[in-house]
Amino acid sequence: MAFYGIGPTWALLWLPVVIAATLLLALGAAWPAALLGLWVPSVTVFAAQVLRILYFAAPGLVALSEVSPEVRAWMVWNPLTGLFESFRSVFLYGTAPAFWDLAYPALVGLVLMAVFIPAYGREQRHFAKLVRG
Amino acid sequence: MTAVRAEGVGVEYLFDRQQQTVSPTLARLRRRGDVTWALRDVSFSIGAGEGVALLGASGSGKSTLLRTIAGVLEPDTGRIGVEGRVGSLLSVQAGVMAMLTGRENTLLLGVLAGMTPERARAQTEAVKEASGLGKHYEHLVASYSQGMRARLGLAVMERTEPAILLLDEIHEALDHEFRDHVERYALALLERGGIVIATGHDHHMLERFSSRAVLLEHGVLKEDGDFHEVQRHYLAGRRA
Repeated sequence: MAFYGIGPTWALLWLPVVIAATLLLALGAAWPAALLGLWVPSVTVFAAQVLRILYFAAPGLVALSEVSPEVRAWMVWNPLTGLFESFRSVFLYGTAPAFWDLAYPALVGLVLMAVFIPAYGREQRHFAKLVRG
Repeated sequence: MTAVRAEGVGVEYLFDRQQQTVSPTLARLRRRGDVTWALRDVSFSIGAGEGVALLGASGSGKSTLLRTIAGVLEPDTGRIGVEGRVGSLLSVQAGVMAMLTGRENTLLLGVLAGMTPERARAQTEAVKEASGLGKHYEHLVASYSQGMRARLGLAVMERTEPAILLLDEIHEALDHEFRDHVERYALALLERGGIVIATGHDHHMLERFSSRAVLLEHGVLKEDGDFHEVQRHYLAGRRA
């Protein structure tokens, strides 16, 4: 904000909500990531590339409004897109984040948790057999 | 009352076609390979003040049994009951983390063993003294030898005051001075009414704190009784 010469606005009050949505998505991704890392240890190298792709396929460096409509139609499906746009709204535009920008990544996180937490619970007792070394 | 009881304990390992260990879920997703029972229908009871040696060839299930008693592995069949705090040295890595110093590992292992952070912090100097690591205590564990790691692990474990001590060939990686220390510690624990369960191929050391032995063969308990009797049968079977 200081870099762009923008002062704090009341929109900053939305920051805890944006962080909460970010945490929900991160938590949701953590369960399948933990299981995949154990099931297929070599996937960790691949996972780093997937994360990099997700980052560049989201409006982190360039605002979504600056992206061509064709690319935008794909980008909105990336759960990171709404989070980047929300942080941009709160810090740079001084506006409240759009509902779906927060709801979509939070929903993805919740769905991942609903699917993978029970799977994690079932698998947990076998972890010690799978860990090498 | 300190006790270890196993009733029909079985531990199963599933493998895929590449002979990688897989969980049941993964076995359903991948083309399944072999099934191996590391332990099958193992039952015994160990009471306070008993020292028990687990004998058997490599791959007979000794380490799996120790890991099951320690709670690292959960039995797939049967049940295991442990009464008393367990202290274990199950590998030469002794549960220490290479990227932390000896002091940092002391804090981490202490907290993982159930100590409060304050109590774990208060133990650090005593652990430094007991481990005999000197200035190396402040160095990264990555620079330690296997023996040094085991000494650190044992020194921390002693501070958790276990009633049941599990040793998995770890004492065989130690120097003579520290092996004597492990032996004295095991004997003192037995005198206090604790339990010592140890595996290894150094039978001379095992017999000094084991009055009883359990012989395992391909995961099955073949014999349970007096140490010298079981040892004689085991060695006779090896020669045959």
